[in-house]
Amino acid sequence: MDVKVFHYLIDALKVAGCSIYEDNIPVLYNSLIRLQSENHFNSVYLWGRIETLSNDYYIAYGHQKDPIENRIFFYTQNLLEWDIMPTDWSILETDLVRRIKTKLYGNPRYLETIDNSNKKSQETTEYPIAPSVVMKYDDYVESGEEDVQNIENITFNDVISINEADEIMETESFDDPSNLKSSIKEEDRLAITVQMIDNECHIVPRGYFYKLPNGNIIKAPYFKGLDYSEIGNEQNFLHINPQYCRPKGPTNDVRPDYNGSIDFLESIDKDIPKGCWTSRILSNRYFIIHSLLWPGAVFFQDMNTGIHGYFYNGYGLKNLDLPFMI
Amino acid sequence: MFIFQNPIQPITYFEYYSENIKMLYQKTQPDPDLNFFNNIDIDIFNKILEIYKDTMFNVREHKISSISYEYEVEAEYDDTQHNEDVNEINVQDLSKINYMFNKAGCGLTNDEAHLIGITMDQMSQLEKFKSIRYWGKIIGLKRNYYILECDWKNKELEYKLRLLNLVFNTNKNKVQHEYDDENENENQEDVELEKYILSEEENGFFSKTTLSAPIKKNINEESEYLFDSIKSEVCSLLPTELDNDDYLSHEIFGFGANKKSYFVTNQLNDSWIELPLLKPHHIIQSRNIKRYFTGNLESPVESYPLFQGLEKHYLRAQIARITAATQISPRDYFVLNYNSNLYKWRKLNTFQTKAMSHKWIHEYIVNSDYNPLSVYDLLEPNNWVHHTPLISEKGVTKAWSNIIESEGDLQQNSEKIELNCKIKVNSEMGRGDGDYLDIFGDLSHDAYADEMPPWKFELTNRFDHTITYATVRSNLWPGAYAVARENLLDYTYHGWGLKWNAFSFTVQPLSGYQPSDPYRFDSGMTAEIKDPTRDDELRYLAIVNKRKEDRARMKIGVLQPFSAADEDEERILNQHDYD
Repeated sequence: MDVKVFHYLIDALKVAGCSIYEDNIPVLYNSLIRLQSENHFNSVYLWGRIETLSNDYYIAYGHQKDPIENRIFFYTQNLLEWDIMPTDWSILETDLVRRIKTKLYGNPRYLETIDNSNKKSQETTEYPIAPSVVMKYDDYVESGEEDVQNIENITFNDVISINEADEIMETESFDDPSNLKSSIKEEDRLAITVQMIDNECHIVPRGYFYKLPNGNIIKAPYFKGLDYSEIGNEQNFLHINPQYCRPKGPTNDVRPDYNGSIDFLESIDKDIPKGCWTSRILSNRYFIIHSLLWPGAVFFQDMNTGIHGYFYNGYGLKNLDLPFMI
Repeated sequence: MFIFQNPIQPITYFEYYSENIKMLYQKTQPDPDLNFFNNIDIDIFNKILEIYKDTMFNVREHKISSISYEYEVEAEYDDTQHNEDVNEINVQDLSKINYMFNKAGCGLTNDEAHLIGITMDQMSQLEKFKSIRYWGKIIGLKRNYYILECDWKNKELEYKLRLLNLVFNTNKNKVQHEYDDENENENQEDVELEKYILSEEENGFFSKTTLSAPIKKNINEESEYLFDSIKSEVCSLLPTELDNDDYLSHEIFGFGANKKSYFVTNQLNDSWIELPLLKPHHIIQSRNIKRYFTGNLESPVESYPLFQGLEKHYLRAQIARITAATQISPRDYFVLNYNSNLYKWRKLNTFQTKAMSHKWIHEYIVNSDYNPLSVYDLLEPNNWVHHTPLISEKGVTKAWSNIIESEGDLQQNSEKIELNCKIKVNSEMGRGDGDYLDIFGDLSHDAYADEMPPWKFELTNRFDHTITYATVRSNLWPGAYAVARENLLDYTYHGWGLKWNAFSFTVQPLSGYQPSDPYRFDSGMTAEIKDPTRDDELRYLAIVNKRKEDRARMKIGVLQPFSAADEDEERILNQHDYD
């Protein structure tokens, strides 16, 4: 959600069911403007709020030139001081984050430990804990995808990026955490979670980003939002994911009105599982897409003005039960 | 496109502009203003305008009626003083409350708040409800549900129960069930009586509504819905109800978890539909499943641990669970209403009267001499209590299961029980604060969900503590909020209607061992039998051949899918024969 249109979208947030404390809005607005000026950002976005057990995290990002690749994320708890989010982490930690199913504590220095020896004992109980489910689920997804279409790039559900997928191969040899008690700082966990959500759920309408012939990506200056004929089609919503920005070879399943300069991102219609996005027009004005995979991630557009935004307001937990729920 | 007369950064964005201009020549782009107008559903705006217009007239009427009403009250004050003070209707002031909700981040937009406020106002003029409040909103996949929570007046309840009896009795007579025991005559008398009452009431009802018919069109529809829902409910559910012995019978209208009825709508300008009564098995089954709401009340709930009902039943069950778990108030904010005990229930059957006389257990009113806690005190879980009865494992409130038990135990000792009850009641009265009841339980006793505290207490404004509100958010039911400050309190729900699980949802595996192949130990299969004679074989072959011919004929006639199982069976039989 661009800070410039922050105030216009408050009602949309309310309709989408993910509004924040109203008293915080002016504070956030001012501190974000300051963030922008201090870091010389072209624009600053409020990304979302992650609810915790004590103080919530507010997440923002800004970018200077490239609106997709060079985004820098910040988080805050007191709404005034923005801290930069850690950006590099090991594959081991990503794996850990996937496994943790509890809510965040609201203290960036809290050390979350996960006992791996625990895992086996718990698996035999009636409720298998998350990891086993994740694995099964991922396997299923991957195999399903390969059967249907031989896409050479990664499956969408694979949260980790391509280059990390290579790393998995390398690290597998020593990454045998069966009797390793591992821990992760909450700050890192937050960063990884935000990254995961952003990769999977951050969407923009088609045509919002424009790729110039020299490869620079810009925000289209006269983009007016999607109109009523376009919002029904899931192909008109694209993931912002740096992985998708790379040049691809010609694929045979492109849309009929393919336009290389705006279709360089991946659309959400091939996301897995099917039906993980739900869209409608509420109160006759606001067009809203909820992501069901990450409950709380919302894209909204005011149909009257074309102002649109993306917001995440939730616990930072993936909904692994989704196949049972739709 | 005039914007390109003076584009920003023409050199950098050259390609973008050239492409846009090409597009412009290729296809005619619609005028954006017209585009907006063409796509707007004008009916909705018309409807909403109608609603606003109606309220304008309504307000006038309201004023007049209230003035005349005061005179009446003065005139017959002595009579009404004793009876019931239900003439006043407790309607939530949504615009004020919504301000509070917005502070807490669970509010509605102004449009929604106005429309709901108007609807509540109209409903209050029906004079059937004791209290009306906005319960919350549940997000569905296709549409959302707005939910109102209404408390019927005692008189209205009585009427409804009688109606129910009537339908029930007629139904019973039709089915000729064994139930019609000793008091058949009484029943018939009752029926006649009730018919009489019904017609009277209906007349009254119609006259009431025709007075203001043009204004309350919506509400008329709605009350028809009510009528329908009650009837169809009873008729359709009667047979299954009798079969299900494992579940307790549901709580009667107006008691315990069914004390309030809930009205839902997808669109605020549509009619509001009353949800069916809560059945215990719905509660129990809804605890096992986890599904999103679709937004269509009549759609079936497809889930693996079976849910016997439509989405409206599921919705009702979830509402009941959320209500029981998350409606909280500061300590001493609500007190039991002992006065409601005095109401005399007339013309109900014995069981109903008995149950309804216990209804006061869950009857709470705002404490008139509540002294407000400071906002900081409100951040302590000790200072908050549940004021709605919890729902037990059996899917009913405790009070109801007590009543059922006492009913089922000993019919002949009913006097004794009544005595006991009286004693109980007395002791409760003596205690006064009712703290051994299952309502008014402390939040600090609530169960943790896997090391996670069930509630989250927070101030809405951390910078200026003089204007802040205290919010309590439920971690178990994400989306449940309570907001309080001094004398103001309200709670709402705004979410997906799902409980948060510490463990991910897994379908329960089939329990127990499956019985092994029953034929293996069946002596009939292994015992020696006589060999078939030549005649038997011939007869058998004749049958088989005939079937084959039949099948061949069928195959020629219609192309039927080849059923491997049948063929295999036949082949085996043949082989057996020829061996």
